[in-house]
Amino acid sequence: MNELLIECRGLSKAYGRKIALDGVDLSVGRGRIVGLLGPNGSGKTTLIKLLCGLLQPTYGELAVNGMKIGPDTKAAVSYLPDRMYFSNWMKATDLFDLFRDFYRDFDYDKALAMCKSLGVEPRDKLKSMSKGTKEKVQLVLVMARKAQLYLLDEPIAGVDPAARDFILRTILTNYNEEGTVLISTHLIADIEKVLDEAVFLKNGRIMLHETIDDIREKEGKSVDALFREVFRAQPMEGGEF
Amino acid sequence: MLWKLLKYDFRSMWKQFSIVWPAALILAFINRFTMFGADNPGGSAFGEWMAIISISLFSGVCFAMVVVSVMFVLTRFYRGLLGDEGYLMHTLPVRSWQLVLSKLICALVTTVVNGVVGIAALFLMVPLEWDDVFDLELWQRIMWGIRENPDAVLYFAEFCLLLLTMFAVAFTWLYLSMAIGHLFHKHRVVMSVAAFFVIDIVGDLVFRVLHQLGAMSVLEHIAVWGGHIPFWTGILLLLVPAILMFLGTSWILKHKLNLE
Repeated sequence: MNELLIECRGLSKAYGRKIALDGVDLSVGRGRIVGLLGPNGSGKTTLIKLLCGLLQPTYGELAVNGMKIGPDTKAAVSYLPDRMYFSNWMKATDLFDLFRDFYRDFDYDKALAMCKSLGVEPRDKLKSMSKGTKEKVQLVLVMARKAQLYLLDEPIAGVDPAARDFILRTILTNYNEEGTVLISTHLIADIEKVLDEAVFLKNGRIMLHETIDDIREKEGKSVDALFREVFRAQPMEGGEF
Repeated sequence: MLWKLLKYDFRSMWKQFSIVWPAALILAFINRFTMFGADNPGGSAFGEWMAIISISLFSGVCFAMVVVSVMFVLTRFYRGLLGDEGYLMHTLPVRSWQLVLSKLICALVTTVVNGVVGIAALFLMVPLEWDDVFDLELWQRIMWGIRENPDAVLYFAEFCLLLLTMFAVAFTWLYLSMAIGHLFHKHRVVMSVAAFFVIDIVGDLVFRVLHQLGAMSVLEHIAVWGGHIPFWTGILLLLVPAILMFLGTSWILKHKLNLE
């Protein structure tokens, strides 16, 4: 088993002339909860999509579990995208069947139990579900796997503070503790308490990669306070500075 | 893994056609009585209206079947692999060529079932007498005919295979066009349409070059031989562009996937 779960060397991604990631070097080990933090457009989603093979790098190298991105790494990665990815004709149970067919680590019974605790009726058609319920179904799909790497793209964006706690609790009580969770967000204060490490991304470059304890010790401030300091010049969501 | 992918593509196919296919067969059966029934109501004004309505509905359903089929082939690939559903399909632990092949097989099966439903609808519409259907002498004559000309069945199978290969070329052509259009950051649909015509021009150029090199005269000789060889030559020749376009599509999805 490879010691490092994520390895990026000189990783760059450009969309036409726009550079989304610029020479990223990143190593992440196992059993960690890592916050991928940065304002909108900093390259968080691009990095996650590269890790799960939805994008191809323009330059650089990328490995998950010591392997190039492919079917083997996809079997080890559980990905929560920032959008709905299923057909409306499906029921949640259809998706559970699909995940059970393709992922050996998918726990069907756990998925049903999670649905029950989240108040989701898994035999309802997805098209009859509200947006929030559909998001819960996607969260169930991701967290009912005993994956090595969880890639969660903005799991708490666009929901009220009470729902944020609920989602975070669901993630924390269900993830595989031998695996690593990479959470991208710009809502630092809400997730700071659960993080082991923080990666600050700015304009496609890594500004900082430290453990939370080191940040607090060296900087003498919370990650949220440091984030606001680092990204002060950047307009945040809602137009704040 | 391909079988598992096919399982879900076939389920999607059934969801799409679960109304159109039975509707076509039921309306064909209704037409049997309104159009050709023994007590043809066409003599009365009511009967005439019934006949017009039922044949209009049947024609409408057949038209819908064609439209839904074209949309199904296009959307299962575009939305399923290059749209939001692609976020699910491309994160499954399968290879890109398996994703494309699954869509292609599903599209071909849809075409075959459309054909079968169309033929079955014709049989349902024509007022066959049960006595004729179970006429032993008729079936004996048919079986005897097949035994005398065993090649007839083979010719029919080869003709069907040739048609299916032509559909495979059309579908892979569409797939490659959409995959090329996806390489662009903006106006992807327009670029897909442009790619469709560029592939057509490239195919035409290749054909002209082959013609210049005298390849067509070889084919003309083969056609003169008769028998099964022209069919198989046609099938193999059509398979070449189908395989090339399939490989091109798979390569783009593997190396250039760009779900922004």
